[in-house]
Amino acid sequence: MKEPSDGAGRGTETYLVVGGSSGLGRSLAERFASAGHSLALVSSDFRDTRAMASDLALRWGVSVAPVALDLAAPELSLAALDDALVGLPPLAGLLLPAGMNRAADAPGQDPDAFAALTNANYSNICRIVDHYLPRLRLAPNGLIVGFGSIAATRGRTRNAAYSAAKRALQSYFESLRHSLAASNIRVQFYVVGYLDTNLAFGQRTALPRASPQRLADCVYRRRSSDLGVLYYPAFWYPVCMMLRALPWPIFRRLSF
Amino acid sequence: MGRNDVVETPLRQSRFVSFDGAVSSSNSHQRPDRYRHLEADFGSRKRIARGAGLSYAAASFGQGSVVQEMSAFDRLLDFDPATRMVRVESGFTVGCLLDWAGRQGLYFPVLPGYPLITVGGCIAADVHGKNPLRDGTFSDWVESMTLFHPAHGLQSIDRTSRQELFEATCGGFGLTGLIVDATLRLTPLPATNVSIRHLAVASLCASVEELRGNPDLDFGYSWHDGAARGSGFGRGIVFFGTWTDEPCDNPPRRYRPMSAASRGRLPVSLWNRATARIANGGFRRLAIRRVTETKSPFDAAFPFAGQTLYHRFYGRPGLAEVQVLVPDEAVDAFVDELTTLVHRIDPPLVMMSVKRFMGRQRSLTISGRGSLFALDLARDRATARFLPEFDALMLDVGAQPNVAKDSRLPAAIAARALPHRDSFRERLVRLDPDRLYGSELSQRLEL
Repeated sequence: MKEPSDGAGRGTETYLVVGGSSGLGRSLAERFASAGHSLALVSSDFRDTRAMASDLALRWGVSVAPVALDLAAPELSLAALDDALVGLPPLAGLLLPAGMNRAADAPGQDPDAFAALTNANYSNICRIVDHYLPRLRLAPNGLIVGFGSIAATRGRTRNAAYSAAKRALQSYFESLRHSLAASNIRVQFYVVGYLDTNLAFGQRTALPRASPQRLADCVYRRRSSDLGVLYYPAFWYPVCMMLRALPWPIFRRLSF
Repeated sequence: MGRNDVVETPLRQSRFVSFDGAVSSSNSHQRPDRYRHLEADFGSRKRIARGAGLSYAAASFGQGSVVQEMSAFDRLLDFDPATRMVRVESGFTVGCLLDWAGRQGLYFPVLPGYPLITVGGCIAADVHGKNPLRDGTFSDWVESMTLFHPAHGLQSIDRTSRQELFEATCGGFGLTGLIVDATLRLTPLPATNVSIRHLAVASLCASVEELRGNPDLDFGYSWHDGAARGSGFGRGIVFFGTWTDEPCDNPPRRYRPMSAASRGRLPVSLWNRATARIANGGFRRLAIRRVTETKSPFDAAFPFAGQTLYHRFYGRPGLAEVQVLVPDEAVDAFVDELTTLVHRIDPPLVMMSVKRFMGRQRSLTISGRGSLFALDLARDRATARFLPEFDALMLDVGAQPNVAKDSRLPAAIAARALPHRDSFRERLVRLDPDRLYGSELSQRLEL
């Protein structure tokens, strides 16, 4: 597979960033736009997406299409996104950092709240991948990047549906990678630790928070690698392995 | 991560400190990064917007207020090349504005002294640039704004459609609502660089005369040795800047961002009468030796960006800055009385500066025409004795204080010295009966 250099594909290919108006999604959008790539940005509030699109277009001179989609909704229509992509260069990649979290995510929760979490963190992300897979097969170097969470390492009382959905997403990406192994599409999955975004703002975190800009830069630099699953920051890999290896009698006593 | 990540607006408890190091407070802290966060329901709790947090006064925090830090609202929203109007979010910094506008062949004429200062902060404090007599103040270049207030939502305001609200917001220190974005007027970039001429002067009055005699220069301000006493008191350098296409003398300096916290990292102040005398003497000799220098627009606009030692040397004890607008007819009397006062109390005065000024705003900021004098002092007991007497001198000569520069200005002095303070307060009550926006500054000035 051809290794694109920094800025390769400038102005000739489009990346779709789902959750692209804040946090990691915003950093990814900024990094790819700064390298000259056209973008389609998705978030649920059009005001945020429009502001990001204007900024990236004015700063970097790239084409950016803003789209509003509610990933938590049970029925996801991608018609608006399809329309937005019509005016842009061919789709080359999907960057899917979107997610949803809520404080009261514990077993026994309201079914609508449970469905919203699984829709936003798993099923609608997969739906977007499935929808755009035929287009990516046409791209010379297709890319699909999913983002999981260290919270999904083991099931805990907190983040029950969120963690389950993220673990399901990781499994789906493994299947995706397997099925696309012989194709021109690279499938990458980042298991992300604490990031310095609003998700962790106001929380005490046991380990340091990573910069979303640095992660976005890592994703951009390694976009042509067949890296499979990558823990970010890397120190989370041994931490998660240890957590996974803990016997139940010890794990059940932990509170985190 | 994505828009859906945060269901509720996240808050944390943070400690804030004014840039001069004198005021600090622990507040609920919100860092909105999406519009829905701006609309978060804080009930009847007071709130206040925060830009870069570089105001000398505690204008962006205060006991009991939720601090809304606008750093993520830093985007370019629109640009019309035909009218040269650019719309930016309030967290957009003046350094980015200078850089981006320069790449379009444009320029924004009113730039305060540090690149991280935000557009929202510039409007709220109605800051000035390097020749406010000619260029006016920041708000003169603002065409319109989007303002958020919980009772009214997002409102577009300009000088004609919501005149009273617009005027109260320009120089209103964030007390009318949250400035979300602003449309600014740019001008053609006159040239690629700035040539700065140094002129040695023997007194503060001599600087005023020189600046009066060159009202149309692109940059015009002075620096004075605050440590000199006797006949040397007031000696200094006047800097006259003009645009030029000559190349820069030096490559751009490295720029290491400074915050209120990093400024005060040294546990003690390194400025005292002796160190100020040595440093000022060296600075003056260097400036006299080099008659002209050519700088990039960035280095000319932000002289402290590449040189942060001056502020860092004040350390944790901090500095006391006062800046006053002295009417033309009172300059001689003011300088005479100031000279007497400094010699009598002998505070650790490090430097002084002078600019010519013209302000048109009718809110909490200085307004009218005159000469703007700034004094920087290290904090000690002599400074504590000096400042109240300086306030009395200011009132005697009919001068106005810049409330953004003075974190201890008492309400009674502000009430007597600021021409629009009372009408501003009445406007606030009319515009926001519940007074949802508040800071230490608004509490101290009894607004």
